[in-house]
Amino acid sequence: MLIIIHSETNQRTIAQNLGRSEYSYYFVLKEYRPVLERLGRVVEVSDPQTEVDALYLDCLSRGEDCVFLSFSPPHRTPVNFACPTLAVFAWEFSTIPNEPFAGEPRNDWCSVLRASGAAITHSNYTVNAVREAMGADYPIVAVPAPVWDRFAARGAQLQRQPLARQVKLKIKGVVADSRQLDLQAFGPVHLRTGQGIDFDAPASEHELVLDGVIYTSVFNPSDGRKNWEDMLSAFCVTLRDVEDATLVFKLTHHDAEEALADILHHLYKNQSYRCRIVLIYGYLADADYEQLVQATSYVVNTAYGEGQCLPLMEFMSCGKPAVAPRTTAMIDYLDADNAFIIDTTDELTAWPHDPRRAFRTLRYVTDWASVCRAYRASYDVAKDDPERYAQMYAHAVTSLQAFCSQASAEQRLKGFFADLFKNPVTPALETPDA
Amino acid sequence: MNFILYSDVNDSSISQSLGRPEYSYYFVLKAYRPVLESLGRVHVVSSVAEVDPLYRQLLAAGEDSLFLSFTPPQKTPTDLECPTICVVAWEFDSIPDEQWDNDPRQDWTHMLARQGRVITLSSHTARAIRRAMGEDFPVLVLPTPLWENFAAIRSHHTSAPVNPGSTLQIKGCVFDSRTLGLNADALIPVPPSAEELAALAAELEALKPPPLTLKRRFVIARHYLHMWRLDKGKSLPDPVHRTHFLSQWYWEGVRDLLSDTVHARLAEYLPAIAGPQTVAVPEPEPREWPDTNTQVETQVDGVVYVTVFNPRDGRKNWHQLITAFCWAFRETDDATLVLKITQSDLSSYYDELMTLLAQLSPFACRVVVMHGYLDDPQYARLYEAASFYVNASRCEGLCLPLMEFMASGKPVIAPDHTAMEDYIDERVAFVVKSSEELTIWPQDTRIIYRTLRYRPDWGSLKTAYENSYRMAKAQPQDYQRMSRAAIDRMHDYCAFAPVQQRLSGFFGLVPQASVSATVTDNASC
Repeated sequence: MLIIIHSETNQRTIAQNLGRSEYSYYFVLKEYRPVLERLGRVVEVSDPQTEVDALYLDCLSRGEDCVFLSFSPPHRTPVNFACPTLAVFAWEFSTIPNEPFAGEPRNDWCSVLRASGAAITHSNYTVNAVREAMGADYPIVAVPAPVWDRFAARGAQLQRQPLARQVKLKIKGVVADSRQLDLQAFGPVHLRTGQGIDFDAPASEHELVLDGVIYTSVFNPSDGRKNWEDMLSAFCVTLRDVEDATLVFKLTHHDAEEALADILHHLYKNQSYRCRIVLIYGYLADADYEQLVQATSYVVNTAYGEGQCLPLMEFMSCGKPAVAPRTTAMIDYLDADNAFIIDTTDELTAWPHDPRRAFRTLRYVTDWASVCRAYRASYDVAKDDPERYAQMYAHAVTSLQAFCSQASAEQRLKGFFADLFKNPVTPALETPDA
Repeated sequence: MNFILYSDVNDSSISQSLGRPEYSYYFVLKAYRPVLESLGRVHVVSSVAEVDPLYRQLLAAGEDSLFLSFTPPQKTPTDLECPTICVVAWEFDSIPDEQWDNDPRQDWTHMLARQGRVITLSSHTARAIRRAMGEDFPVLVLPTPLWENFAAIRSHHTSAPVNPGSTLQIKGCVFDSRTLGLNADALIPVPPSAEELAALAAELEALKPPPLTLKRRFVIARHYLHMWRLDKGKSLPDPVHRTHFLSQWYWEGVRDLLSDTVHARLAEYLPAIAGPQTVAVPEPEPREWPDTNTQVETQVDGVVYVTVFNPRDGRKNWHQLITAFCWAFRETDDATLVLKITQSDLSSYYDELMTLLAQLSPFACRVVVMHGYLDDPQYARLYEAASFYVNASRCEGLCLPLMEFMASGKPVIAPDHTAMEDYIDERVAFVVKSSEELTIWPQDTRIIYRTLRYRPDWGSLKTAYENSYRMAKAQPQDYQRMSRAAIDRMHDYCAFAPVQQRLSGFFGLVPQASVSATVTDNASC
C-alpha cells in the first residue's frame, strides 16, 4: 500500500508558521509517520495537485492500494483527486460546519466528507460530532498523534517525585520571571514606571532554576481557545502566599512581544503574590525540554476545547498528572485518577474559521472557582501525599498508553484501512454543492 | 429627625443620566423617600453646599438632622458638620480598602469609619463591608420599598404562563427579529465574481489620467491658469481661493518634472502652491436613525420573556442572555424575548445588538427590542405581558426591574448571587448557576484584580429557558404557585412596613402617621 501524506506547513515553513493556526498539522503528520511506515510505503508530497494523482495512477497500474492523507481541515482538503483522499483533522466543537459560507463550498464540511467518503480525526468526541452530521455509519476513526512511546521512554528515566529540587534549564530567548520583574512596568500606560523588557535585544541565553511544586503549560498565547487568563488568575489567587509554587508558561509564537505583552499585563493585574510565574519564550533544546518535563509536578490546561492537545499528551505520557477540564478530546484520556478535573459549562460560539462569526456550535468554559480548587488540591497532594501522587503518575502513563501509543494507532489505522479498501468508497461522484 | 438627602442626579438631570452608573442612586433616593418621610422630615438638596447651612438652621431650632448621601463614599464630602451617612449601592465581594491616585477618599474604610455607620441595599454588600470594617460595624441593609407600587397590577391581573396576545406601546421604536431580515451571510461582504472583478479592473483603468505628454501639460496649464486668472473659485459651490488653481496646476502638470530637493524648496517658499495638497475627504453620509419620537406598538403572545437593561452596562451580560434564548428556542416559534432598553442613545448599541442577532439567525423564536420611553400605563402592560422576567447579570447591587416584575407576580430566571441572594431561590426562580471570577473595583484606575464578580453558567441559563417554557406550556399550576411565591417573597422583602421597621430599628425612631407612596420606576438597576 502506498500512503501519500501532505500538510500545508512542512519542514521548510515551520519556523515562520510557529504558533499560526494551522501549524500543528505538521506535528501531527510527523507523529503519524512512523506508524504509517509500518502499514505501507509512505511518500510525503509538497504539491498534491501535481503529484497525488500521478502516484495514484502508477499504483493503479501495478494493482497497489493507494490513499492520500491530507493533514488539513476538510475545507482545505482537495476533493478533486481520483486518488482516495482522507482529511486527517483536529476539531474541538460540538458540531461540524454543515453549511457553506464566504463563497467557499468546502466550508460545508459535510460536502467534503461526503465526497471523500471517509476521514480520520483524533478524538471520539469529534467522531461523534461528525457522525451526528453524516450518519451513524460514516467511516471515521479517532487516532490521536502517537506521542506516548517517545515520552514514556523519557518518563521511565525520571524520578516520580512531585517536587522539583534545583532543576536547571538553559533557555535561548526571553525569560520573564515574576520574582525579577518590576510589575509596575506593565500596568496601564498612565501609571507605568520602571524597567520593562527590551524585545529588540538579541536573544540571549538564560539559566532558569526551578524548585518546589511546578505547574507547566505549553501553548500559543494567540490561540484564543487557551484561556490562560483563568489559568493565571486562579493560580495567583489560590497560591498567593505560597512561595514554593511556580507556574511556567512555555510559549510558542512567532513574535516575542506579541506573545508576552498581554500576559505581562496580567502579571501586573493579578498582583501581589508570593508564588512565582515564569514565562519562557524561546527554543528549548531537547535536553532542556526534557528537564522542563522533569521539573514539572503538574501539566495545566484550561482551554475551551482541544482537538487532542499534544503538550498535555506528552507530559502525561511521561507520568505528569494534569490539572485540566475533561471536555472534547480530553474525555478520552483524562479521569479523576490522572488529573484534577476542572468543571466547565457549555457556551455558544462560532466555528473558528467562519468570518461571519455565526453562532452554530458549543465550546466549554471553565468554572473559575473549580480551577482554584484543582490548584489547591493538587498542591496539597504534591506536598503531603506522595503516595497519591505516585498513583496518579503511574495511571497517567497507562491511560496515555491506551490513548496514544504507536501500537494502538497502528492497530486502529490498520483496521480502518482494511475496511476502506474492502468497501472502496466511490469518491468525487458527488461534487460539493457549488 | 430631619433627613437631608442628596444625589448627584436629580429630577432635572435624570434624562441625561439614563444608564450612567450614578443614575441608580437617584432611583434609590426616590424609592427611600416615602419611608424616610414616615420617620421624620425629608429635605432634598440640590448641592452638598446646602447641607451644613440647613443643618445649622435646624439645630438652632432644636432639631436633629442626618445627611444621607446617595453617592459613592469616595464622592461624599468629609468636611461637613452635619452627621453624614452613605447609602452604598455595590455589587462586589469586597470594598476598596486601599487608596490610589494619592486620594485617601478612595479607601472606603476611612470614609465609613469616619461616618460610623452605613446603609446598603443587600446582605451581600453588608458582608463585604463587615469584612473590611469588623463584624460589629453598624450596617443597615435596606431594600427599596416598592411592593405597594404594584398593588394595582396585582389587583386586576393574574399572571398567565402563556400570553394569549397583548399590545405593547412605546414612545420610541421597536425592532422585531421577524421583520429585520436577519441573515448571518450578510455579516461579511459577498466576494465579487470573476466578471465583477474584471469590470472593476476596467473601471480603474479608465480612471487613470492620460500620460503627461507635452501637449497634455499645456492643456493642464491653460485650464488652471484660466481658472486662476478669472478667479473662478469664488463661484464654486464650495468657494476656494484662486491660488488653489495654481496648486492644482503644480501638482498635476509640473511636480513630476522637479527633483525632491527643488520641490522641497518651492514648498517652503510657496506653501500655498507647492505645499501638500489638502485632499477633501468626503464626509461619510450621516447614518439615518429611526424616528424615536412617535408612539409605536407591537403584539406579543405565547411564552413571553422580558428583560430591562442598559446595553452599555457591562454587568448585564446581555449577549449570553440573548444567545441562550435563541439557542434554546431556535425551533420554537411561540417563545418571545422582549428587551426593554434603558439607554437613550440608540447608536450606542444598535450595531452590536443587530450583529449579535444576525450571528444567531436563523431562529424560529422572536426577539423584540423596545427602545424609548414607557409611560406608567405602558409599563404596566409590559409587566402584564410577561410570562417570565430574565436576569443573567455578573453582579447586581439590587436590580429594581427584577423586583418589580416579581412584585407583579412574575416568576423569573436569575442567578442567586450578589444582591439577588436576598430574594432569589428555587421557589420563585429558575436559578441560573454561576461561578466566581476576578474583577477590578470599577473606579480603580490601577485596574488591579481586587474583587470577585460572577460568571453565569450559559448551559444552566439555556436549561432555565427550556425548563421555564416547559412549565409554562405543560404545568400551569406550578407556574401559578411560583407566581404567588414571587408576590409573597417581594412582600416580605420590600413592602413598606418591613422596610420601615428596619429603618426605624436602625435609627431608634418611632414611625409617624403612615404615608402612602406611589413611585413607578423606569430603572435598569
